Amino acid sequence: MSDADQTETTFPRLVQAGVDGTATAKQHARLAELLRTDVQLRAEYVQLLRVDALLHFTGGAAAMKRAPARSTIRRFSFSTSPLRFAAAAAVLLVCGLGALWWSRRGVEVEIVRTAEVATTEWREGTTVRLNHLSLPRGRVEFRLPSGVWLEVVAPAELQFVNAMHVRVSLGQVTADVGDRGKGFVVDTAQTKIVDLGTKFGVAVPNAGHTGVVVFQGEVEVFDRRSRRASDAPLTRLVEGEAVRVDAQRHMSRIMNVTSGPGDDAWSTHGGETGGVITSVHDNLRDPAGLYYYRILAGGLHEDAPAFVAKRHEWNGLDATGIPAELLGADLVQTFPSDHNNTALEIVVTVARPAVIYVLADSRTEPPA
Amino acid sequence: MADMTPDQMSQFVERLTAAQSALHGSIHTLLAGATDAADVLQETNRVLWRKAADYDATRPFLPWALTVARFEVLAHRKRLSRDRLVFDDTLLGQIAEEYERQSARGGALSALEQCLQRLPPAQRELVDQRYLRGESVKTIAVRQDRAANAVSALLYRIRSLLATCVDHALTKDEPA
Repeated sequence: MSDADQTETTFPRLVQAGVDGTATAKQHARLAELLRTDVQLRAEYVQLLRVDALLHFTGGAAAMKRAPARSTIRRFSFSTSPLRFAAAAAVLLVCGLGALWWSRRGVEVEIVRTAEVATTEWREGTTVRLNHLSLPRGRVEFRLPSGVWLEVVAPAELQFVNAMHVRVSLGQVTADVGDRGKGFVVDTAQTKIVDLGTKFGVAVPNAGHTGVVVFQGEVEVFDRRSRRASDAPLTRLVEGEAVRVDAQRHMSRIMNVTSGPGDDAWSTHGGETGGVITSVHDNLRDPAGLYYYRILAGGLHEDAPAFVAKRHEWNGLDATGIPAELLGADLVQTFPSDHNNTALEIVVTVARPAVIYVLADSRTEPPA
Repeated sequence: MADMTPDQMSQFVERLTAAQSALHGSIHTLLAGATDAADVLQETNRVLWRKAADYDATRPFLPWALTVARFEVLAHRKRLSRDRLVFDDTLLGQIAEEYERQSARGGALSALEQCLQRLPPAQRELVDQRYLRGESVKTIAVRQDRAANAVSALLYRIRSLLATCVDHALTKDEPA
């Protein structure tokens, strides 16, 4: 085989390994050598990477074009409507309100629900094409073409990379990926979170750390700097677990997740649910899992889940159900691991004087 | 920025918007396809906004913006950990020049859309999986029960076909 033949056979592999992020140092050096010395290969390389970039940039725009047109679709195509674009940009830059779409490409998303957002353009049921989203206040629920439901809570900055991938620089995002969205990815400055079929939340209160909370199912949390598909995740979280990752990729357990009676308005730092219970802590230094205590403001009702990661429910002992004086009380969901740990101490902090009930599993003897 | 009139600002916004795919392409190419291209693009946009008042509107926007993007790539590269595989300054300069030469012919995005329409259904499906759904090569390979290398090679072939198709389309549109 001549040198030229060898170059032809190895160049595609080297480029592909580079694009896939699987190139070894040796492969990378060989590719650099070829690009440095061969003008033709350099031109070919740029052509290929340019196409790869355009495909990433459009996020499968061609595929979306095949979808049947919907009467509710609204396109914000600034290239064809410079006045609208200038107005939208001015709103963001001058007034600091509203949302900006940086490009005419992006992901076509359906607006499911909005609350307290600055723009009046987003009507429920309409579809807009988004690339970068800057949300200074309010909350928006989106449906992506992949079927993924996404809630964004301000202040938030994120980028819709494609229908299966968003990047969060700031804010709180909850994703319910449904049946088709397995593999959905959320990037932050520190982490890459890959969904394995679940509902999970990501909180980026600042550039320094990321919080990940799993409500259902399972996610894998990778170091954002990982490039190889074979790199092991930092951690794998299951339902009821949450972790905080800092800039040095140190992980710490998030002990409380507070919310209203459902998964709405969840928070890892207390939030403003108006509830009586503000935090719950324990003395576990090395828990079996990264479980959190779930504080549901007003969450106690018949059939309320008893634990964060098990299907047991709280029910009344007879047909009258949960005693009326307990209905609508704040509920703390504990987790099932460490149930044999007799040294376990749980500290509950309340915002005002309160009566605390400790509910006991009916299969066990009531505590003395 | 404060010195710009509303018309100038509007024109700047329009040019910056039109340049997004080229800027992203340049950064993506210089970073050899790394996943952090979007972050560098965001930073480049911020710098371009800060420098908006310096821009001479009588000169082409794209070369100026590409130069800013190239410096942002260099700055980003310095922040990367040492184990990241990156090209040296000289090679980055050579690639940047080639990219600028190729992107001087506009219309690549429209050409690509047309070329995508011509792909056979199976190849279109693979493009959708990789770029619409953002699936990794490994994920696609597992689902299709094929070797990851085989999926990689097929993707390379598709990109190669698309690159040739785009090049032909742009050449055809050039004035004789």
